[in-house]
Amino acid sequence: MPFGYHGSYLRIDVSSGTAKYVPLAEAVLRQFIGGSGLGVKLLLDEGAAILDPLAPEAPLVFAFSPLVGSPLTTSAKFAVVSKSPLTERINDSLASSGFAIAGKGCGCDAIVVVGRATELSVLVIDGPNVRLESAKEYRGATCWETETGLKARLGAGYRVASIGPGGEHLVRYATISHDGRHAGRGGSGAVLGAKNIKAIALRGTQRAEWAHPAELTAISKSLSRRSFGPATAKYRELGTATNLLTFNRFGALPTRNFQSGSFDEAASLSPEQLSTTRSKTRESCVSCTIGCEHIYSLGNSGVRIEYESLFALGSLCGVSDSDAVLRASQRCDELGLDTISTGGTIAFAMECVERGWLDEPWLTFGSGQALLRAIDLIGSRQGIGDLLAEGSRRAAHNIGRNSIAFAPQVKGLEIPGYEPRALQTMALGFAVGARGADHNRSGAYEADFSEKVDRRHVTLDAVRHAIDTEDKAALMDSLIICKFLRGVFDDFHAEAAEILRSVTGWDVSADELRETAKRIVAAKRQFNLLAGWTLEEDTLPDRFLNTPLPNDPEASLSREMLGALVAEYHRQRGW
Amino acid sequence: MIFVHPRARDRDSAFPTIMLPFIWACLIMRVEFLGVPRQRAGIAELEVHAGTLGELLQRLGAQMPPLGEFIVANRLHSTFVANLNGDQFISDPETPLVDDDCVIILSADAGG
Repeated sequence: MPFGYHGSYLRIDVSSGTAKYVPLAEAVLRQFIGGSGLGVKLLLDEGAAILDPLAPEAPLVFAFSPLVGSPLTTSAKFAVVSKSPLTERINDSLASSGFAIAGKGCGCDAIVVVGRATELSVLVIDGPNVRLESAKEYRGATCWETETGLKARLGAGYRVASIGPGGEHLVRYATISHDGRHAGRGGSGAVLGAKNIKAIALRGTQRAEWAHPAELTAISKSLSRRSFGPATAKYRELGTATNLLTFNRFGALPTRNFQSGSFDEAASLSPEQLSTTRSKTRESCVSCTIGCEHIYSLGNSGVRIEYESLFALGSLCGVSDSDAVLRASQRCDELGLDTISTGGTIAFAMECVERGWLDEPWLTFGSGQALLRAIDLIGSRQGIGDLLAEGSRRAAHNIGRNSIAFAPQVKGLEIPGYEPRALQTMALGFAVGARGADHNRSGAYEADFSEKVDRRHVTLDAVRHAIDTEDKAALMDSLIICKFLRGVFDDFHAEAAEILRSVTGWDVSADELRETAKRIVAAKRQFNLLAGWTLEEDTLPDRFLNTPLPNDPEASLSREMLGALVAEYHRQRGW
Repeated sequence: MIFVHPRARDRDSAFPTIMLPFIWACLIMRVEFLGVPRQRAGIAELEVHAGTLGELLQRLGAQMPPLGEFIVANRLHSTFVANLNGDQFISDPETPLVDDDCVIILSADAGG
């Protein structure tokens, strides 16, 4: 067994209530590391690509990593990997905190769940012992109610990941929540809900040995020290929400379902303004020294605010009432809904209403009340919520009238808060993303906000930047290290190799990790090919092609240019 | 002492636009701060005169010590970037600036 690993995964069939440890070859671990990489490999081995993601036999993987449990800052993370019920393609979403440490403490490097329980259940994993308990009393409970209730019921040491009503109702973009954070994108909560599993509660204390503890400790101290420095100041001092005014200034803030790149009332939602009228506290994940979570007061409670939630539930829906946007974000967290897909789908519906294509006259841009009503309807799949729970792509196919042209999605995944016409390297990153339009699997926007490209007039030179950031993300998501640390590394691949070497003892080099990243990206593509992917999927909705942003005529991306970028991307990938 | 410039646009009441007094009579350009640079500067924007990016950064660093920590040898620390007129990102201290230019200073890690 290699250092840093337990050398097996725990495969649980909740139909039969059986569990077994399955060995993992060292070669596989070295090739895919952990997290997203290991999860994709296990899904391929399970034959998941050709399965209905909501079928009992469809596997759901919780993958840990060799760094989990180590003193390295931000290493308490896990990946949830499955075929997405929203996109029918690969989906890997990450979350943080004690669940990762307790899960690895169960003596495994991943947990694979298949089957369907006969009633709504809690999957309890107590070290090597696995059992199902009834979760009937938690039907309809919020994520937080479920987690706190189960921790009280099961006792000390348990860590709980749960779904909310959204997952129970198989909303295709339902999340899995842990400790207030969410494995958010692509509908892993619906996959767990389809298995009749309301929550997974686990505890374990087994530790994987490290190859070079003294070296690892020294690296950890260095990394922690650097994590307090200027490279993470943005996350520590303002959080991702500070992107709002920045993106607005550059005409890149998606507004009213991507009909504009700027929002006149953006300042009212900015953290700079919110801080003047609300109290704020800061929190961090377990094992994290950055502390990026900024929690703003809302009545007697607090709401964790991120840029993506502010944009999706604010400017994208034309809502400037900060109370409404914060409450909407909080409600999504309670129901277990991805805020980006929720906001994107609602904004799409608002435009359909505006065009007279959807007979829901209350659902108008700018109405905070309508936003909150729509979220509740989605979470319960009532009324129009049943259609919107399917996501914007399926809703567009249902509505017809070529509304798919402005459904804000790629491969079915709603587009994050980066206007593609104003950030054209990111446009490519969105188009080719294995799990759809995604800012966590492609950091191509980094090139757009640099001297490397002209963000509104990109050339084929942008392709290598998109590939570089996609590869880097695949590696970070497999190691797993938080991307908010990316600025502290002078030479990420060399330092990552040093970290992995100290944990595993492998004589791993920076070049090997570069190859590993490409292997993981290729594995995701292989999954998608098996699932039915075609080249036509690597594009953007018509709205973004050939039509400039209304207030910025230079922000225009032709269909031909995007096609050339995508073709060059595939050529450089060797696909 | 800080003067509020008569042409200032009050975009953000939390961070007013100001003008450094020594440039009152000069031809001017605008500097906008976003994100952490705005926190450090304590203002949203100001107006200043400089012939190059390096000169501009030197003046900002001298007038605003909290920001000056992020300006080394007329260059921004790698965690900040500068943009000219919302178009191109710039870093060369010799980059010429002209009247009515707008230099935006923001965190390098936009996005996230």
